[in-house]
Amino acid sequence: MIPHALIIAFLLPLESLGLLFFARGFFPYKPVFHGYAPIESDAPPAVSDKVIFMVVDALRSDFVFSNESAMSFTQSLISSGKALPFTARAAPPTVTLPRIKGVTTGSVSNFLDAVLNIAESDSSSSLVGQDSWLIEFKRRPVPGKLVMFGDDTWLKLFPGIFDRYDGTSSFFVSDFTEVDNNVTRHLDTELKTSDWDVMILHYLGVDHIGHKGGPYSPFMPDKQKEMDQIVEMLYEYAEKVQESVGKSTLLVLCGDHGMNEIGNHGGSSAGETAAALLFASPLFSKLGSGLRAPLNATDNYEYYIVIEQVDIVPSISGLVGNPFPMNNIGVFVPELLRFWSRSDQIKLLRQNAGQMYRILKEAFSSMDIPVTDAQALLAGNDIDKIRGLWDQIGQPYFDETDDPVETLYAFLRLSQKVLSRTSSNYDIPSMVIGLCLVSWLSSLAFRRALFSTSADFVAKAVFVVGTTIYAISIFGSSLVEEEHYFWYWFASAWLMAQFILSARVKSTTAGLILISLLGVLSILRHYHHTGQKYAGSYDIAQFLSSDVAAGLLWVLILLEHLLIFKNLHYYVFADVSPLIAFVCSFTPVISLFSFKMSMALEAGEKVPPLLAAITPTSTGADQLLNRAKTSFLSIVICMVFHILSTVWSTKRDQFKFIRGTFHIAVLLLVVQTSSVNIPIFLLYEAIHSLSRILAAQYRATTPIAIVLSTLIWQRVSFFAAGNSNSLATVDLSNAYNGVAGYSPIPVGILAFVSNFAGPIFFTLSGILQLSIWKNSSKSTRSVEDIFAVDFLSLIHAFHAVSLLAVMGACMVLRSHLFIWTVFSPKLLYTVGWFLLQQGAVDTILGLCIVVVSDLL
Amino acid sequence: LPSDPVKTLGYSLPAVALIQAVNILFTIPKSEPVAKSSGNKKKKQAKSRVSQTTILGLVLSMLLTPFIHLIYVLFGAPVTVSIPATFLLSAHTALLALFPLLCTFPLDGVTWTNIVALKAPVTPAYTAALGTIAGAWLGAVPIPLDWDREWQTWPVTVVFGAYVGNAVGRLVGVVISGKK
Repeated sequence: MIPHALIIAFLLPLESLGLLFFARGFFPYKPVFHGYAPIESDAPPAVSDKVIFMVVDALRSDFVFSNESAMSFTQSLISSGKALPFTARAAPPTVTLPRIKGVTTGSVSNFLDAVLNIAESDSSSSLVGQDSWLIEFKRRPVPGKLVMFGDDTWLKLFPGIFDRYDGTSSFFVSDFTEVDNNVTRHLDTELKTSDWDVMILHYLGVDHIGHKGGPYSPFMPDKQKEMDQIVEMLYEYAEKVQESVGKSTLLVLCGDHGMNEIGNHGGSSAGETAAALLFASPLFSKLGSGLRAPLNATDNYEYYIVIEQVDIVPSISGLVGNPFPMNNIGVFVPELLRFWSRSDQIKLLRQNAGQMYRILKEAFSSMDIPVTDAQALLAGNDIDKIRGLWDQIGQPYFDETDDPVETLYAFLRLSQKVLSRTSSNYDIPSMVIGLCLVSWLSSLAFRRALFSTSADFVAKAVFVVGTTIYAISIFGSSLVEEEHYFWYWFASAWLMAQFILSARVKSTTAGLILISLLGVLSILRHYHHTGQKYAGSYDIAQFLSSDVAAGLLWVLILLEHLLIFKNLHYYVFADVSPLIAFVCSFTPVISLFSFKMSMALEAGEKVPPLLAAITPTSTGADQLLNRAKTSFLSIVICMVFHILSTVWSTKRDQFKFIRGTFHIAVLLLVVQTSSVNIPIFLLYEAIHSLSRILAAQYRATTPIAIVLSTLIWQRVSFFAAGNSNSLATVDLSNAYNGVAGYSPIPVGILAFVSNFAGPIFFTLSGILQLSIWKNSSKSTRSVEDIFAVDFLSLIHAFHAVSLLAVMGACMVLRSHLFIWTVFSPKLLYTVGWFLLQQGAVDTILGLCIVVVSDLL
Repeated sequence: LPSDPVKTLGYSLPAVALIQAVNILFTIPKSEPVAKSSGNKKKKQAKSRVSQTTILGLVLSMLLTPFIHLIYVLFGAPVTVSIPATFLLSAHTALLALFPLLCTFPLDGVTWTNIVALKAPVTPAYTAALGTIAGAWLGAVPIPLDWDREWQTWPVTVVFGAYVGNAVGRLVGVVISGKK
């Protein structure tokens, strides 16, 4: 055992090192201009004096503009011409931090920002030294005054820039009201003081409701109304200031990103990228009549004119008369040009074009070649066209040509397109080093998995074929998006292969069990329809979360709790007196149940009144926190009891310890699962029980077959629980159970456990099956030996090869259209699988359980 | 086929049944050594028995269609939607895979356990059945791809895979049993 464990201990860190090299080259920090834009001497006059920038997190376009929206005042602003509405297309990754960078600096984010958004404590994401429209206010001869209330991401991005602020943590997603009241409570005094030039408000409620209950959650209309009232309050303030002081205020209402049909975001689907955007000011009524509002709801979320989200940046800068930020690739919004005379319009766009040309020159050396024949260039590729247009713009009599505004826009739009494409350059040598290292190590690991483990020709053949097909499938973008199909397909193939074997040895029991497993698999594959193509189509989870099925859902949840109770009673507290056993196993189960119940009530899910009546009704964040803590505490107590009782018991029974640990761990996994997914544990338990019978009674079972099944069920359960290879499905709703504020380690662990509950379940189930197999087959090998030799080698080899395949795909397809939307998230998920699931759970936790079970 | 799978599969079903039946009628006497050695007297009797077997096999394989439908669902076919399509797919599969097997193999437990265990003697009917199953199973592969083609709808690719698999399987079977 020890040499095998040592080899893994040698391979794992080295592979991680290779991964590090690769990631360093693949996710480089994007080169950005430091320093600030030069002051324009001849800038057109400012239109607005003050800016209120109101971000409503995850405010999708239809939340404001469609006829299903509750924001009637905002809509009346549009129809009376006091506001200009847009759909702002947000660039993926559609998560808050990169989006705020986008709407302040005007640059396209790099993918690493998405990771930093989750690893919140990282300070390298700060925008110190980078130009933005906020900093431009500070650079005025008389520095502007900035205030900020809301999401503390702003404070992290702009440390020290705000004169007054109050930050809110954005990750405590189960709170809908407190986060927003925390912002609104400052408005009264701030609107009275009115000494600021820029006020930033960032409301999180809509996003939190989306994460919990989706875009059509019953909480959504009320929240929209609340936001609508705030818009009304701010607009009235703007009118008042206009009349009394004569200062004009620009109110910008925008979403940082949208959300998809289940309320998540991070990916690049239509709903996630369509953010609402609204410029409002009493000045606008001068510009003309309003637009029709509300509009009928559309499927593509495109309402009014669609612009790029970064276009906000030059538009604000232009309206307040500041220079455009250095890294801005946004284009001034044409509809806002009407405030200026024709010559000022051209001046403004020239300023925009000149600033973008500086970036172009940095990015493309061909920009410096003098233009000889502009007409010929205009027929060429994008870069040539840009050079031709720039040449035209530079001509002395350009302003007198037919349509200078049109030409300027042609230049700006094309430049924007080209610049948002080239947002990344790779460090190829570093990537190659990583790739070579991992390919060498994974070939070692694979060879060991095949030749140094115990014998089972068929299972190994299936393993080799499966791993190979999987590695190849990663090179296809839609096969990555729809990875769950591979696993369902492969699982059925493996069950079928075992079925054929069972017919060969004429075992009817095994045949029936395998058919039943196929049945469970077919329920699992319809539990959540995940991926891209059929995501959101009707599935069991949707049925269970509908109001009609609330009774059924809670009956199933109760069943799972009863099952846990039974398992604790029989397998953990079997040796104590019946009364104590009952109390000891009942307490954790009831505290778990009451926690899940109050969490569901808090999230506005429908709970059968009969059940709701028996749980104490007083809810609220504190209550929830305490119940989560009680659940965790009771699990710890169970585990301590279990260890002590094993130590004290006279009979040494390694198997009993592993079995008890497994059942206690299920308790923890259910704590970290949202109510609609708890019934899925009944299916997991069914798979576990059926496989256990195979391990105990079926003589054709081998350790290799058990490990291969474990590997397959881990993946199947991951996808069946609704996960996918898109960042949008990372579920953070259970990441704050029992944690009051953000601290990276506990929140990270809780988030991991809640997303990988299925895989962790099957790791433990697999170890338990191995020890059952050892007992029933009277094998002379120790459990530790089977675990280290067969389990670790095979699982490690699979993960190493899949890591290699994903790295290879990212290397080969690095200029692929979907590299940032499909392959990079896949790389992140693979890192999660490799380091956390395989490294921390399968290897370290598994080793701990097996070694401790032997020592006790 | 892609524009209206249900209609196409429905109309072609009798034709496929006929072709398979004719095929079996012609191939059984050759592949059954019993029929050969039983002499001239019994030839006529044997022939009528063969046609009886064929009809029985056809009826049985049609009766087993719901069972095949269940297997398709176990392997991931849609449960609540496209039921007619899946059912007709099952009927076609029954004709392609089950029908020849029912006619050429005796109906007893041991033989059929051997068939499942891949231990049955290699005949064109058997390899064609295996080919059909493998083809149908591989036919599901292109469905999730994002090519947005009409033929990616259920069950077009699976039908295609089953037929190709059947043909390849039959060919392989003929070659192998011919060598022997």
